[in-house]
Amino acid sequence: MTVLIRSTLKLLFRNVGFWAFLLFAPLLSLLILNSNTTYSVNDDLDGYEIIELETDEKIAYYGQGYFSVKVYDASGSRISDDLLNDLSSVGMYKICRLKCPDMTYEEYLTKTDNDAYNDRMGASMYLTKDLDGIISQGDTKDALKINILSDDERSDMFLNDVELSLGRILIAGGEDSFEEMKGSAPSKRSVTVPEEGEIILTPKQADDKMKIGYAFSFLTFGFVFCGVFVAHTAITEQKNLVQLRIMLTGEKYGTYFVSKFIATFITTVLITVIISAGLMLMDPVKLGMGRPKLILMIFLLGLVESSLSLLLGILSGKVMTSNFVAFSLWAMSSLLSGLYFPLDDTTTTIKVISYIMPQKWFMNGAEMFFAQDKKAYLVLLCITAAYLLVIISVGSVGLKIKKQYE
Amino acid sequence: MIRYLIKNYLKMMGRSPVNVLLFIVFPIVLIAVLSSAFSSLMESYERKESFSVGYIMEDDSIFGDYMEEIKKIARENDVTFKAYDEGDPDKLMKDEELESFVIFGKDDYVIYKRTGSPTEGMITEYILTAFMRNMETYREGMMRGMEVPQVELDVSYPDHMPEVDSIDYYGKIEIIYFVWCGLICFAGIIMAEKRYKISQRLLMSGLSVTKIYLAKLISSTIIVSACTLIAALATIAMFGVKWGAPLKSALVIFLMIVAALCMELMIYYICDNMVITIVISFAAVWIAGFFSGSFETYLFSSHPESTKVLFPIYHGNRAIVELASGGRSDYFMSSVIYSLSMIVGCSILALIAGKIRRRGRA
Repeated sequence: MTVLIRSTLKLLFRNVGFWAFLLFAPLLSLLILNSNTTYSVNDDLDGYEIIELETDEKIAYYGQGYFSVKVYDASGSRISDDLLNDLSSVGMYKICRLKCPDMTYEEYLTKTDNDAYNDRMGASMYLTKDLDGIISQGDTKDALKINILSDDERSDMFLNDVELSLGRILIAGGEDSFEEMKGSAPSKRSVTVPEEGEIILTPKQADDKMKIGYAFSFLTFGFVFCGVFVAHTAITEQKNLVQLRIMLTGEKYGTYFVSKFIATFITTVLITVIISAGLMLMDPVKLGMGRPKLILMIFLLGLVESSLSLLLGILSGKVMTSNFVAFSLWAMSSLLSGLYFPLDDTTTTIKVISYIMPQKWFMNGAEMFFAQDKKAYLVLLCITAAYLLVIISVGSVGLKIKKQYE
Repeated sequence: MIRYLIKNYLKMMGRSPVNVLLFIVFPIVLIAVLSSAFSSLMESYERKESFSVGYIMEDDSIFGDYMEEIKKIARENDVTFKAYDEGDPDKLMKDEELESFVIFGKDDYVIYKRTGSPTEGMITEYILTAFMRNMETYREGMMRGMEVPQVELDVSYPDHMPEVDSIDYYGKIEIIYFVWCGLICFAGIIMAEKRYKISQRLLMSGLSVTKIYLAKLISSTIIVSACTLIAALATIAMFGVKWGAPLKSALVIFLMIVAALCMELMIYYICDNMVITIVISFAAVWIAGFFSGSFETYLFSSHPESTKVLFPIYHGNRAIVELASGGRSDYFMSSVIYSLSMIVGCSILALIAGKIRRRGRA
């Protein structure tokens, strides 16, 4: 056994490709984990804040269940602030304001033509330059223009609310009076309650989870191909009849597969050590969880992924096929486990398939760690043990059956 | 002779499981994942026809006197308010199948919304907010001796892009994206042809470059079209994707299949190396897809319109999506013209390159 492991490791360390994957995957993952990129579009869970647009950008991403309204604000006045804040606080509309003091009504109409076909929103609104002056004369019709740009039935509610807010502003008369009027109203608060088993993440945690997902994807790539490099040694040994000679010495197929598995285990440890060294230099706040937890997850994920690709590679019996299988395994499992996008709203079939993917369980584990749920350790260890049991059993038996058929 | 060539190519391509994997399984997986990822962004407003909201009224609450009025307004919106004396809102919502919950305090109120029913939570909040504001406005008006002013609004309803949900969008877009990867169908065959010097023998047999080119093009078009049709039918069966204007949509997709194959054959005829052809073609298709909405919905992406219109996939994507959602599209003609131009242009260049290479060999 020791000789088998040593000879496999020798072959691996002589392979430049193996070293490339050994270093490339952890480094890329560390870059992602260390980045300051934010992935969550909307930090305001209740939707009460106005989104101030710096440039004339699309607002499609801000909708997310809300009736989104793009406001071209040529006024930038007190009344425009009051009106938009009042509408935002209803909790049903996402108000995105672009301050554009020089925009004319004709220019707004051109913008609306573009918004109607190249963006997604409930309505667009133009607040004229002299909004305060016109409204103080009671002329609301000329003060603002609204274009409804969707078939969303909430457009009527929106129009009612605009009328109501303008009515309130007119009654209040002045800035202080409107604030006073709002202050005398009963205050409201909203609380979001998660469904059974669901964990609500804060925007920072959601960002960290996305980062971990991308990092896991690159790490999976590295682990899978390190497993394949070990599989290549087995395939070459099969081809050159080395495996047959080993079997003639009295070794069993199970021992042979376990030796390859141990070689894979060592490559996993190597990748984990490299990434751990990098993580030690990083600010733990950026990771969203303690370093030991993340390192444990990476190690267990690596063990499952590299063993799985080793198994599939050996069973495929061809170097090219094993590469293709490893690439497909990485691409499909990363997509279907939700490393790039959450799969919460997908079909039941896809959800069931996603639970077969090892990375899905590790993403769930990350969520549990964020929520300080100690059961995460048990879940991750059980999942890893289950996968390894299946892989080693199928590997040992599979090799024997394959040999019989050959 | 060309008939036999086509038949032979068809047999070889039909036997390759890679075609099935690429053209049927891959788009389906991508549709499932991308439509799921963008589902909440692209979903239309939809609420339950009727639902229940629980509430607890604290003893000294100022809302006690208005509860009947609130219930009446809620009923008009098919929402039923159910009173509870005490309990944990979280537990009550789950046990009693309530979509949201409200605790009316002395002079404030807390709305509990379930993550699984965001729309219903929003409606509950809307009903209460609208009621409170109306009350506040009338009260303020009375205090100031004013009537609530009549507000007139200038509202227009211009034509706009109908809303498309993520399944209907990605269900079509990914099929189109893989149409442009048609090269993979004949890559293996051409590589084998070259390895066993069959292409040289074909040239010596007296077959013209045009006939060999047409044999490759026609056979790969038939296979890619068949795989695309199966994938499209699978999307209807599995996800319920709605394809509109079937004849026009089929024409756009068919022309794109031919255009893609012509482009990829042209690259092969020019560089005479399948690996380089694969790299150039896939890189070009990926870049085109990136700008054309194959991954990030074109309605959401912030790439300039002037860049997007450079890519034929963008015209095809918009034509197919708009034909399905609105029955017409300004991009239908541009997509057809773009594809036809590519078919003619790429074929001419491929044949010129093929003839130059043949002369060089001769």
